[in-house]
Amino acid sequence: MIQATRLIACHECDLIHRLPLIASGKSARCSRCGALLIRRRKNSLERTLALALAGLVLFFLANAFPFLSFKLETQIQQTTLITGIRELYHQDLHAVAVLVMLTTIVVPLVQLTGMIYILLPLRLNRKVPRLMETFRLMQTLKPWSMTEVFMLGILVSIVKLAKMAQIIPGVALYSFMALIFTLAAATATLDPQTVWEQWNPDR
Amino acid sequence: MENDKTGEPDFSNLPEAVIKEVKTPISIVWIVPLVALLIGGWLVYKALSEKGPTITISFKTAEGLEAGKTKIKYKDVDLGQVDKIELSSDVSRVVVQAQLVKSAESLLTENTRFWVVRARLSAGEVSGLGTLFSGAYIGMDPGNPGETARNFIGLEIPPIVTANLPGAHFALRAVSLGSLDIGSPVYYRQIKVGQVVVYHLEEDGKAVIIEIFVGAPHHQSVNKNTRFWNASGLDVTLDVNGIRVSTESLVTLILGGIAFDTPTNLEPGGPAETGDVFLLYDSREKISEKTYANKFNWLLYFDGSVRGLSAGAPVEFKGIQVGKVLDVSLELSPDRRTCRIPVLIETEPERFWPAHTPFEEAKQKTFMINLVKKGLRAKLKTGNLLTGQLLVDLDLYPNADKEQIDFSGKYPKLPTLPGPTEEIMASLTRLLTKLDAFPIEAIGQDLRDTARGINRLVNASELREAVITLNETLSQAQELMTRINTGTVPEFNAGVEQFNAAFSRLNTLVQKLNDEVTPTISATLQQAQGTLSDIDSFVHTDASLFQGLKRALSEIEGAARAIRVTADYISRHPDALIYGKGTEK
Amino acid sequence: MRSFMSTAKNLNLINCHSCHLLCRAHESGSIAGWVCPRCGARLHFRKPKSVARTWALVIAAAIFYVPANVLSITTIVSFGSTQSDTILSGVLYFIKTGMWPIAIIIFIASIVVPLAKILILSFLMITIQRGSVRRRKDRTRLYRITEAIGRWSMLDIFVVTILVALVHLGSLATVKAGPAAAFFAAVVVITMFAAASFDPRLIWDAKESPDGK
Repeated sequence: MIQATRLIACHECDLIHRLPLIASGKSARCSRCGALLIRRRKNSLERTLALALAGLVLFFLANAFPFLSFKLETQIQQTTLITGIRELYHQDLHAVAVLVMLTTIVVPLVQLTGMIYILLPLRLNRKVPRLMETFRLMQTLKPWSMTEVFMLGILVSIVKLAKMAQIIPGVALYSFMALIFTLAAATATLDPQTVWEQWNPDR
Repeated sequence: MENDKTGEPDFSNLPEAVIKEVKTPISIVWIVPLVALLIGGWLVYKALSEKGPTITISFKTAEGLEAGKTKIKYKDVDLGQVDKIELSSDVSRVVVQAQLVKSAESLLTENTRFWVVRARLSAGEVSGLGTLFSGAYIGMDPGNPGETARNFIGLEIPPIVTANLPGAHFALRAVSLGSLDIGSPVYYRQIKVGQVVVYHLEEDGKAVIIEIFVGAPHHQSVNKNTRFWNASGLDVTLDVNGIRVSTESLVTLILGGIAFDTPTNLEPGGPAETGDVFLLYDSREKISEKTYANKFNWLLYFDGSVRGLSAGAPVEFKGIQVGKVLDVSLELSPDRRTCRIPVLIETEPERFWPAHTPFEEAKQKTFMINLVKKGLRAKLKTGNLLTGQLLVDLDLYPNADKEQIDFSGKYPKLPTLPGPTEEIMASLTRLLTKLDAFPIEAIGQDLRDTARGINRLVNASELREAVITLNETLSQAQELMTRINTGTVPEFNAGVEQFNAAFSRLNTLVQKLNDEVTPTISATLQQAQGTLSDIDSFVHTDASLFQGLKRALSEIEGAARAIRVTADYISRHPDALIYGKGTEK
Repeated sequence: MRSFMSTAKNLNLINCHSCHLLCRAHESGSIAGWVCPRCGARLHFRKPKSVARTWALVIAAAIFYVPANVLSITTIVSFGSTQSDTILSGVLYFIKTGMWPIAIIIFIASIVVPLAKILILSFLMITIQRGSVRRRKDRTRLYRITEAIGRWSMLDIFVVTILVALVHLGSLATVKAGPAAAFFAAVVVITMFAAASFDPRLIWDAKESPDGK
């Protein structure tokens, strides 16, 4: 049930506010501390879903094809996203390898699939088990999706290595770059309010 | 609306919001996933369609192979890459799984062969840095067409890789492999025209058979009489002619190589056929040796040492090699208690056959007898001062003792002359005997006496005194000199100048005297002599004349004394020369 | 008329951290086990044991920060010669070879950010524990910044990952990751957890003095 007037407490300063209806594209901020309370998005479900699907395709491409090739004289080293992780694991830095895998592969994948898992049924008015848990999981994991940082890391590495050898970008690199934007867009267009509002708890 | 102080929100006054059902049109945002899907799909399709066949090759060992790195090459073109390396199920072999490019699909038949080319400098080329580090790669040879296959058994030894190339294969027989290896280049006129394909020992193990491949069109340059030689590395020959260093190219320096050419003095003999066997000579020089079929062996006896003579040493006639030494041994003759050294040589008589006459074997004997009559003798000569190597030198010595060829025995014996060493020995011996006869003892004794005499003379006291006085006079003169030098120099100098002038005048005077007066004086002396004889006759009678003479003599004596005193005075008072004795200083 | 300002806690209302639903807290019973009616998330007035947890994590991060910078993070083996680099020496290398922007980026991401997080969180907690009411808005802003920049210090870890993956050419050149990588990863993770366990609402819980400020 949608309440006409709602109350909300700022999650940063705990001040209670009256919350009017917010039109899509507008945001509500805390009057005391300026924290973002709510942001409404236009057509959130559909957009997010589309972006999530695109992201998934890009994710698949980013992992299936060679990522970067490093050519020194006649020696070529082709890498995929997983190569680095595997190499770190081989060098006995298991924890770091796991961390990198989580932040660049697992969490983005969870984000994407989670989005689809939640939004598709919502869009089609279907019910799926544990929707809220999934959504909550997604929200919790959001800060752990570090694909943009990875992109910056790639940039720094290329600059560092470009001097000594030839760096050849592969298909996966471009896919990954597109994935970053897509994922960021999807995360941004996803409006939790819509999810809450659309969701009909079956209790 | 405001909350009242009780904390309960009051919503009752608020209007009800209108709930709108959200329509669900397909928004434009769906293009994004659509595009992504299309691109992705196309990429995947492209990758799959371009994916070449996956094959497995089994080897004995995976040495040098690396999963994800090792390439498969054919004609130096990358055709695939090794994906995985695993042990076979029975752990006896290694199974290599590789991905080939699409275009290689047609090459995969049951006859296709794979082998590992282990890490090495690429045979035939010393290319850039990359080759040094290129690890092993898997070579591939499609072989003849047949049924397609995907699983292969790899060869352990690279096969003759050049099956399909136009050209010809030949076999070379060599004493040893040297620095050759599979892939070592074959040169013709310093152009690489082929390579060593494979090598193996002959059945009886006496030689190595090297199979080479010469590519078209150069294989037509190989004739029946073509000579192949080992052009590997540095050729350093140290023989009778001295030291020589030569090399074919930088590549052969490292990898070894074979070169061939048809010597111009030989008939080409028609093109060689595949499978023809050739002899691999050790170096370029060896091939240019004229080979004659005819060989004649001689036995030579030498008395002296043959140190430096080894089998293979040349036999020369007037500096041209006519044969070589086959064997050198020792022969003790029990009855004479001496030993002599038989040297077996081999000559090619055609070499010193008279020019423009056809060689006839029958006439050979007579020809040699004639030569020996003319004075043909064998002698040992030093070929190389550096190494001391000897050679057998045949030459005509018209003044030699008459000798004959001894045709008895297995080999005819040529007469010999003692070699240079022997001559030197003889001369040395003679010199030594001469020295021996020398009365060295007597000479030594005489020398000693003379030395003693001189010693005595030198040590005599008078001599010593004379030396001392001389010393004193010298020092006095030195003092005088010093004083003259340091005295009133300018006037003295002037005085000396004057003195010099006067002296030079005196000199000229004396000169004049010498030139003009002397003849007069001698004439006068003669006269005087006459006069003296007259006086003599008068002496007894005219005592006054004699007395006068005596007085004159004493006066002269006095004058001389005065001069001495003056000289003494001058030495003490040099300025007296100028100022006279008057000024007493 | 001045609007009535109150924290939810004061009014016995709990704000679900997940779906922002404001729920009324029961008078009786402990708070443990309460679940949001809308989304099912655990409810609590404030993040449990926020100060203690955050302190623990901040101290742990500070401890790990030392080996992360002292030990080598990359080792380059080329033709038999080995060259080990710490984070700092890597930055200096970039400066020396003239790649200033990269040096600055890495310096900020790997050295400044984690340190800043540790210091800021410590500062925030000290001010909370002292009950300070000064400049609370700025402090909240400070927290927001801390939370936002945290993930960017993973940059160096990713750079090492990529280097290790790419430069794998046997004896020609190989990059190995050093132990500092593990420590640094720990620092990043711990500070992220620390920022997550810190409850900014505590800043605003401090009682204002009667004359209001």
